[in-house]
Amino acid sequence: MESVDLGFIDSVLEKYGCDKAKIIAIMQDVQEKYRYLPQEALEYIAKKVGMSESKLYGVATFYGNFSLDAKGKYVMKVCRGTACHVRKSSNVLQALYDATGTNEHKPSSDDGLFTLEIVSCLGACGLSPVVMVNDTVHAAMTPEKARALVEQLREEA
Amino acid sequence: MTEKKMIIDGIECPFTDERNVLEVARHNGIDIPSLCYCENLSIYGGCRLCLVENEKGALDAACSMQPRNGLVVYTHSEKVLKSRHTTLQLLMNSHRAECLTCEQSGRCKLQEYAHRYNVVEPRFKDNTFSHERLDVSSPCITRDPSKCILCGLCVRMCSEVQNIGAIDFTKRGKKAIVAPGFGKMLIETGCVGCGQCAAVCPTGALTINRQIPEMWRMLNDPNKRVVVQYAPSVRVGLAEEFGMPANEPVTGKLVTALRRLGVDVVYDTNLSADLTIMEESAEFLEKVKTGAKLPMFTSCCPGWIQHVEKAHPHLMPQVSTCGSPMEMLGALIRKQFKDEDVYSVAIMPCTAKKFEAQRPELEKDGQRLIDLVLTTDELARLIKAAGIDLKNLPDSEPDSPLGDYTGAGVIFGVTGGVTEAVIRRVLDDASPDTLKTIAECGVRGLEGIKAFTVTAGELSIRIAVANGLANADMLIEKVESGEEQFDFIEVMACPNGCIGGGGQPPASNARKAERMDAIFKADEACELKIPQQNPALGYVYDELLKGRAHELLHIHYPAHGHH
Repeated sequence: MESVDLGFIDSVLEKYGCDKAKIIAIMQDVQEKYRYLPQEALEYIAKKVGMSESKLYGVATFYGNFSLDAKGKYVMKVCRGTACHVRKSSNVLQALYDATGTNEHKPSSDDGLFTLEIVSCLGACGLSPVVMVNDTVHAAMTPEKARALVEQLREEA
Repeated sequence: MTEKKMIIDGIECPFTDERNVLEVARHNGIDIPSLCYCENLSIYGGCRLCLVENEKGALDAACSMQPRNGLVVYTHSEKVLKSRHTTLQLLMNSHRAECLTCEQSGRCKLQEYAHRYNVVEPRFKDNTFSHERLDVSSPCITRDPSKCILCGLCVRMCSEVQNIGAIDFTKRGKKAIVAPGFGKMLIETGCVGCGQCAAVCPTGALTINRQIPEMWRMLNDPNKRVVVQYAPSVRVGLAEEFGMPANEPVTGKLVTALRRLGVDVVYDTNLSADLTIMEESAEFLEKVKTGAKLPMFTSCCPGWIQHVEKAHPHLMPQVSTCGSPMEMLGALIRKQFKDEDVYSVAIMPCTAKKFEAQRPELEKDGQRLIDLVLTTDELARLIKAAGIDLKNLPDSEPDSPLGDYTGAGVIFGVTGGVTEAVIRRVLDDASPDTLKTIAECGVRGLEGIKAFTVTAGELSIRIAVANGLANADMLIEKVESGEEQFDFIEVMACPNGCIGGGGQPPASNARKAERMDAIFKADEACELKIPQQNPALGYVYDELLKGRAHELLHIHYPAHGHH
C-alpha cells in the first residue's frame, strides 16, 4: 500500500479552502489519486477541517462511490443488469473471478491489479454483456473474451 | 395579548414559546411517545413515534411541528394508533431483545412503549439487528450495536452538548450503525467517559458499566474493612429512585442505608471538597502572585481532564494540580487506616470517575487511592437488592473525623459550586451579608456559561463557569482569540454539573433544577459555610498529611508540564 502524501492532501484542502461544506469534493479528489480513501488521509482531513472522525467516516461510508478499501489498478465493473443477465453476464463474472483470483467476498486480487465490482446497469444495454474497466467499455463480452482481457491487462501492467 | 391555544384530542391546550407540538402536549399532560426527541438537543424527527393526525387526516411528527393558535391534532386516532403500532414493530425487529437480562430493563423506552401500546405479536420474521461486536473498551461505557434503534440521541449529545463526536451514523441502509469512525473502539476516540450518551439512550445500546457484584463480594468479606465515601450530588439524585421528591437532600437516609448494607465506615466527600478548596484557592492565589499564566482551570471533573488531554493538551499546565475530592479523600483514607485491609469505595454521580480511579498517574505511595467507583444509580440498585426501604429509614451521621463538612463542600455538586466555594474561601468572611453577595454575584444558575467579576480587597478576579464540554470549548476559543479574558475558569463536563452526571438516574431539566434546589438546601442546613471553618482540617493536615499535603493531594499528569 502506498503511503499517503500529506502535501498532496494539503493542496486539495487548500483548493477547497479547508471548508467542511466541500468535504465530498475533497474526498473525491483524494480518491481520484489513490483510487480509494486511505484512513490516514481521512483522519488528517477530519482534523484539518474541524470535523469529528466519526462524522467524516459516516459521510465516506454513506456513498457507494467512496471506497475505504484499497482498489486494484484495474477496477472492473461487471454489469448484472437485466439485459446483461439474459445474455449470460453471470458466466462472464465467473470467468473474471477465476482469471483474477477473486470472488464475491474478496473483490480485490492479491497482486493489487484487479478489483471486481458488480453494478446494476451501466446504461449500455445494447452492448450487453458489458464490462467497464476503469473508463473503457468492453462490449458483448464472453468468458473467453473476459479471460483474454485479463491476460492483456496483466501484460500492460 | 390573548393566550395562544391549540386543540389536542379535543382539549384546549394553552402554549407560550414551546418549540413544538410535542412539548405543548407534554406540558398539558398528554404524553405523546417519542424515542428520538430530547429537550436539550436538536430535533431529528427520525423515530416516527410522535406522529399525530391533523384535521385533514394527514400524519406528521409532533416533534417537528410548530404550535400555532387554533391548530387541531389528534394523538390517538385510529390512523395514529395503527402507524405507531407498525413503527414499534419495525423498531423491535431491528433491536436485539433480551429484556430479562438487559442492563436497561425497566428503564428502556422501547420496552415501555411496546408494553404501553400493546405490541405483543412480532410481525416480521427476520430480525435485522446489527451483528457488530460489543464495544467494552471503555472503563465507563459499554456499546452494544445490536440494541441500537438509530434514534441518534447519543450522536447529538456527543456532538452538540459535548463537542466530541466520538460516535456518529456510519454506513447506510440496513448496515447503518452508530459507531466511532474506522471501526475504532470508544477508547480510541475523543470519548471522555461522561456517560451522557447512555443517559439519553432509550434502549440498552449504550449502558454504564456496573460493578455491583464486586461490591457485594467486598461487603460480605469479613476480612475487608469497607470504607465508603459519597459525593455531594449523590444525596440529591438517589431519592428519585425511591419515589421521593428530588428537591430534598437525603444525606441522613443515605448514610443509614450504607451502614445497613454492611459498610464499615462512612465518610462524606464534602470533607475533601473543603480540602480541595483550601488547596485550589492557595494554588490560584500563588499563581496570581507569581504572575503565572491565567486563567487557571479547575480539576475536579475527570471528564474535563480527559477532554483537555485529548483536545487541548497545551492547556494542561493551566489546569489546577489539585486531585479531585474523591482522590483526596481516598488519600486520607489510606493514611487513616494505614495498617488495615481497607477496601475504599466511592459513590459518585459520575461515570468518568470509574476511569479516573484506575489511572496510574493518580497512585500515591505505589497504591491506587480508590478501589471501586459506583454510580448513584448502582447504589440505588444495591439498596433495592438489599430490600432496604430508603424512604422510611431514620437519619444518621457519617463517621468522624472524615465526615465533617461545610456548606462550601456540598455545593460542588452543581455547576458554579466549586467557584462559589473558592470565592467564600478567598473572601474569608462567613457573615450572612457576604454569603448573600457571593450567591448573587452571578455564580449560581444552570446556564451553560456564566461570566462575572469578583472583587477581593485589591484583587479583581474575572471568573467564568462552564458546564457541558461544548460550552467549555466555546469559552476556550474566546480566551485563545483574545476576545475574553479570565483569571479562573470552572468546567464540569456534564450539563448542569455533577447533579446531571452520567451516573445519576437520567432526569429532565425540571428534575435537575430540583436537584440544584436540594443542593442549596443542604448548604443552608450546614451551620458552617466556609471551608476554613471545617473542624476536621486541622486533624487532616497535622495528623494524616504530616507535611506531605502537596505530594498526596496534587496530581501531575504527563501533559501537565509541572514538576
